[in-house]
Amino acid sequence: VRSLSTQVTGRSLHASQLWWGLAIVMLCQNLLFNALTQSVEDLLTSLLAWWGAGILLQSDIEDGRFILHPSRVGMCLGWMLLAWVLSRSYLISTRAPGASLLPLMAGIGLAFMGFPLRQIRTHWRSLAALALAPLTRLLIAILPVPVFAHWTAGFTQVLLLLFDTSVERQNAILHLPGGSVMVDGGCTGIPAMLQLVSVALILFMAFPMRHRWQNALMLLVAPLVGFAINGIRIAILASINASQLANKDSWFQLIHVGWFSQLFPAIAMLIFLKLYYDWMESQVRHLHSGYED
Amino acid sequence: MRTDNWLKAWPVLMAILIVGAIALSTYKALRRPLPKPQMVAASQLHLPGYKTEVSGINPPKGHADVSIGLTRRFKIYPPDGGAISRVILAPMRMREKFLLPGLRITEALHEQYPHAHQVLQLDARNEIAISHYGGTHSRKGGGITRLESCLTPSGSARFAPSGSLAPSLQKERNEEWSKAPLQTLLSRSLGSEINSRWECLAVLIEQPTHRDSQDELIKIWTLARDRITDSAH
Repeated sequence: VRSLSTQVTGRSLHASQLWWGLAIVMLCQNLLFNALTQSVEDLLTSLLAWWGAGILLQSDIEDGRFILHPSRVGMCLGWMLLAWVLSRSYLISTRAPGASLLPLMAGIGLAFMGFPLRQIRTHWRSLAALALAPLTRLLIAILPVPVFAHWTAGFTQVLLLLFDTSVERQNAILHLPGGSVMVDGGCTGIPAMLQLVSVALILFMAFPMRHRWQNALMLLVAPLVGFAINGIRIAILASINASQLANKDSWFQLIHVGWFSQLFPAIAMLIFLKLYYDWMESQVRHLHSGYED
Repeated sequence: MRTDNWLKAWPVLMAILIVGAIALSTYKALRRPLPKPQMVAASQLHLPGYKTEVSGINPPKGHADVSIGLTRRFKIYPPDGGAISRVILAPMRMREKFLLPGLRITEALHEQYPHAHQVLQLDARNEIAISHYGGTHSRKGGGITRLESCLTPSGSARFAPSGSLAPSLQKERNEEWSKAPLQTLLSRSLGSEINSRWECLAVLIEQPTHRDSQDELIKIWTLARDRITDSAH
């Protein structure tokens, strides 16, 4: 913010405050739109994309690469794009795959409204973070659900057997003595795994590790953490379904759909962030000890 | 200095967008019923061998997560003077997927719209339901047995006594996407065109529980399934 203040003065400072205001309003508007019309997973994916764009823009500001001064053409294009995003957000009332494009379109519109055309490419990382939302949605649509369902059911079966629970598997269906569950759709853990990969990519762009193989390893670890935690969730769901609990339907639905079911992806996210932070910290410590030597 | 002249419009343009975004978001948050379902329930229900009568009509109800179209209810009198069945036909659209494995129509509705039982005049306290995904769900008492299904727009996905609805529903959705023209796919993806996949005609057939109630309900369903949508639509 300090570097921004030194670059803009007088009336343009007023405009820069408006630009930030517009960016915050577009962010809130998009999150509200997702909360009202899209699924919980879509809302969280959008939130992640905006968070990534924010921290990457912050690093651009710190590097002194943030100068607000739009071109005339950019200003017109940006205004039209943002107006289009607002009209789409108002008109879409049911879940639509294309809704995940709106954060990226809003980001491009904001970039046009804020920067000269030639300077927009210096902020490509923020736009790339916003592009993760439609990319995630696309991958959810094209990844083979039966394959992931099969793997998840297999992993859950192993988990249940480790806890001495009698379980038989038939492709993606788990048969327990008290009842059976079928792994399908979001229960394959695909959305959660893709969200973790998105976080890994954002961290890779914002706070890269020292070596490429370390970044590549974290990109591999991210979906594995998501897969393992989702397997635990399915094991809990299968156990509830097979149990004699009085309110087992309510418990099942609580963990199966809605906000509470997001507790498990949240745990996976925390584990992954802790892993990333600890490894990064050990590298920094190692680097400092090298300087001291 | 000439470039500064057009820059004067910059704050104004941004201020317009800020005000527009706040106004549209507020309006959407406060008043946002889903569009009405396009499917139409049959106004008459003639079942061979049964006497039927229209017992009521409920006007469409718009809600943020569920939109219920014109609901029609019928009474079905069996030829042998046995238990009277009630048939409720309710076209509905939901904000997103609602035919979840293991979740009955009435449960899914209740999740999204707690007043659904009231709108459909259902007694949820005391029921056994034959799910459209196969299997029977029973509640304490089980005074009412209900067959639940939801007919999708193409009609290919619906309750089948012998199996689960999931594979046929998935097949229908895949076909819907693979056969649609590119323009339709794009407009559906961008939300310009209403996506029919979130819509179906809920069919609830119920009668007091007795020894043969499940068989009777399945028999009524088999006779009714091709007669429950308005062919004029």
